[in-house]
Amino acid sequence: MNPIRPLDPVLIDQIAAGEVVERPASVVKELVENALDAGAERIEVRLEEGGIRRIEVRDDGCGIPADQLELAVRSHATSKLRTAEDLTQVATLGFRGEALASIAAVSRFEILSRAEGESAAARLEVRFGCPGPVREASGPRGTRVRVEDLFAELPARRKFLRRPATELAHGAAWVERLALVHRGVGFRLEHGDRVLLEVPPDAGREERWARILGRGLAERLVEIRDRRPGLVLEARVGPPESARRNASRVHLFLNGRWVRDPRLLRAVREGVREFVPAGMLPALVLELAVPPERIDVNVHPQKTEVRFRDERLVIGAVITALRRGLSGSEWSARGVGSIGRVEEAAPTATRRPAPATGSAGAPWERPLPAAVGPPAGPTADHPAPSQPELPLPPPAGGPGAFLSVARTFLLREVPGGLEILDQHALHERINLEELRREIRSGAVVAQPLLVPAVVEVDRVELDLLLARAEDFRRLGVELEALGPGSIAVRSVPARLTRLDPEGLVRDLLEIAGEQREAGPEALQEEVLHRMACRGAVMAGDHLDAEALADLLRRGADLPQDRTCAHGRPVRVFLSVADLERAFHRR
Amino acid sequence: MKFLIDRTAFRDALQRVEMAIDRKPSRPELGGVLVEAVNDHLIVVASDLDIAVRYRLDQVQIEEPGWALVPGRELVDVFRDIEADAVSLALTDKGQFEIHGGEDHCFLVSMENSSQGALEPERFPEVPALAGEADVTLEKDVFMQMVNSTRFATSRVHETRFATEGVLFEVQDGEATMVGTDGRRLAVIRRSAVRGEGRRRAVLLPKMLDQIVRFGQDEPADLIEVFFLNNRVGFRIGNLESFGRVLEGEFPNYGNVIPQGGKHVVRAHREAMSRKLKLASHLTQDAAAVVRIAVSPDAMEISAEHEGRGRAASKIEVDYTGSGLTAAFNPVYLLDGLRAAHAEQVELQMEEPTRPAKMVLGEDYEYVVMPLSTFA
Repeated sequence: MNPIRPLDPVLIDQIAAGEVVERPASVVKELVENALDAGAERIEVRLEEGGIRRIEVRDDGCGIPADQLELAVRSHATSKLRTAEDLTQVATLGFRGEALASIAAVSRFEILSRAEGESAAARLEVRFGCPGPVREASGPRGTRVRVEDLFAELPARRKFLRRPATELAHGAAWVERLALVHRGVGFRLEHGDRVLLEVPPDAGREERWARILGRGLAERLVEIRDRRPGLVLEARVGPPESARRNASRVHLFLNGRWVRDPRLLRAVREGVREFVPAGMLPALVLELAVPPERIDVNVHPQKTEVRFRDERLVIGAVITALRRGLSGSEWSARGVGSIGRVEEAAPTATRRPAPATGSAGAPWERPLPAAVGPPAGPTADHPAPSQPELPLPPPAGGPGAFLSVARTFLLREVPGGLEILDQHALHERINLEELRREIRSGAVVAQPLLVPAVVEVDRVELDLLLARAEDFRRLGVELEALGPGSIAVRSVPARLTRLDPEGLVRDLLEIAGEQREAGPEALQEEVLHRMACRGAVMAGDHLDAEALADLLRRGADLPQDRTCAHGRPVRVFLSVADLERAFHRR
Repeated sequence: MKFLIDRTAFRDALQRVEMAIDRKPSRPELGGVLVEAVNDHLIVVASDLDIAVRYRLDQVQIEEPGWALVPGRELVDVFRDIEADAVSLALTDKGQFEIHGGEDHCFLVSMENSSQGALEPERFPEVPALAGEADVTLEKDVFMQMVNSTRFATSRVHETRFATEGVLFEVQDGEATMVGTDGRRLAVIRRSAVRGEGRRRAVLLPKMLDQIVRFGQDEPADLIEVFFLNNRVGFRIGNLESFGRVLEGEFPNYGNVIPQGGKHVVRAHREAMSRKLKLASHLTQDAAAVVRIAVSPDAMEISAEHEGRGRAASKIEVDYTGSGLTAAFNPVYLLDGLRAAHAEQVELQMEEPTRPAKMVLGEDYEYVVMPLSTFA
């Protein structure tokens, strides 16, 4: 057996590096953050082979004086923290003093820097943890760090690197994240001889986002702001179409630092869940500003997780701000296809859409026939169909004519195009909003049943339901134990006239089982969602004109009628341009 | 098969069976209409999985008996637009169904026809002829009234436990009862049958009842005959025979639900009460409409409040001498009942605000509505 010996310092650094430097992207992140902390105005990142071959980060920041260069690459050396007290007020991005040392320990490393006011630059090379001498060199103000052959001498780590394209994507993501929020700083990212990102320092927020997120998306972001003691929140949220299964398009910034905190991410999910399809997350930039002493960022070597002193405050603020902001937003409520506006424009059936440039007055372009106009009344030769179905006659005094497709979708012309509504999704959303309104106003109107619905349950299930009976009762659902093996539903929310009580009990059981630990509000929210869905007309249900008019009228009153409670769209708008594209007219 | 027939008569026959043409047939034959020329009459049949209709036409000139199963939708549509008073229909040698009237000439494919022998029941559902003595006979108008008095209260959705999408039809010793309920309100009407021994009971499909109400009225017959078959019920009015699947499942025990006369009995004018309910419901909170009905000697006040919009209150004179009582109701349910009422004067019986209220809407016609309650 080998005797125990203290570790070689180089080896210590190589081991420690593993925590900070995982892949080229981590190097990019650390170096760019250093540049930002140095007060750079322009930062250039050049990668080769995704950064595996070479990473170069150049800035025009304050630079490092020649006499401190050697110290800079030593571990736990930093200019950013001096005392333990400072640690409670970390305002710079880096502070642990590990980054440069860690990187230098696992690569061919070179740093060239000229500090402000100095006449010459200094250069230092470190080969896998072994520093050379500091030499004088020439160079502009600022710092240039070059990292080559990352992990070249550590095959165990190198084999975990992925293809250059994957590593590039990770590295580029970091540059984008940092460029998103560091206004006043110019960013340039090159890979080989391609420029992947170019953001001038004077690019405003919109311009910055357009360049990073894509112009189409940046123009459609919903802006949300919230300010309360100890917290400033700003968010930009993309439309439901931008949603993805993972959080790849979610950017959370805490005091300018990009974080991927699971609790914050959960809060975001909760805040947006009604506006995007279930389980998905839209493109989103959330910036939080919290007094530095109220958070602890020193819980994770990569600093992507944080602890909040007032976690409940922050999490709660995120959820409510997103929810409120989105429900009042343009795309979630009053878009082109909103009911309120359409009513003014109805009937629109015979109106001709604006002709596309160039095809105006073309001989083949006839005015649209009144395809969705009211049907001619029954005559002797054209008896009314046995069930009034297609097309629906316009409800008296209600919105324009609809065409019902497959008893699921309702189509109508709206200014600028065609709107398609999903009758179930619309009804579900209406139910949810109306129930919430009732709860806010203090009491849910309950409809006691003439014949209580009796459902067989086992003892465990019975206890589960009874434990929550008071919470259910506040939602208008009154349950009563009828003995060891059965439970009766005595009342249901009055507005849900289509709710099957027995189906409801099964839902409640499921929710009570899943949410054993949940507080009354979380439970209530879950039940509301389920009931809203259960109590809605289903796809395939026949809606008569009156029921339809009622649904649309109620929909027009909603704060949010773009998506159903599960985040599926309620309405889809096809613009004339979309239709023209479909018919190859443009 | 070949026959000559009046266009209007045949078109009317097709209309009667139209509701039973399967709209989304799993096999083309199920979307067909069976046209059968017997010696001196013609029979038209359509059947989907729920209902079936058979209609008999006597005014027809049969040249050659036979039958054909032809695409239903197309047959109905063609007959709407064909222009001739008399139309000749025939099965060609090639097995096509030829429709010829005036200048119009149409051919429909026949999915099955008499040249191939008998029609297999698995190709097209068998629709038995209603023969022999009916189990129950009612006056047609009475039957129609019973349907119109209960059908509106049925459930719009499928419920797990109860077959409340349908109307319960019960006959016992010459007395017929129909009940419709959705668990929140219940309508029940009793009428004497012309004939009907023993006890019969079935939950009827609303779709079939709609078909009967719609077309039975035109049939020149005063009676409706009811046949309780295996899992179907058949109805005959003159030449019209309608069949419907019996809804499986339990029906609530309606006897337990109907209160036996309340303490507070209010007599009100139907029209006046309807008008005031409509007025108040303009200021109810959207769908979960709540109106409050407060009764005091000789007066009923109907009021509603929409948070953030306003409120409405209105009074009508009523015949009432008891103590004051207030209960909350869904105005839609009350209006439904008043609309279906047979008499100009209706009676509202209440026990207490949380107990079911009963409306007497006509002779042997009662309507029970469960009041609303609020849980804070």
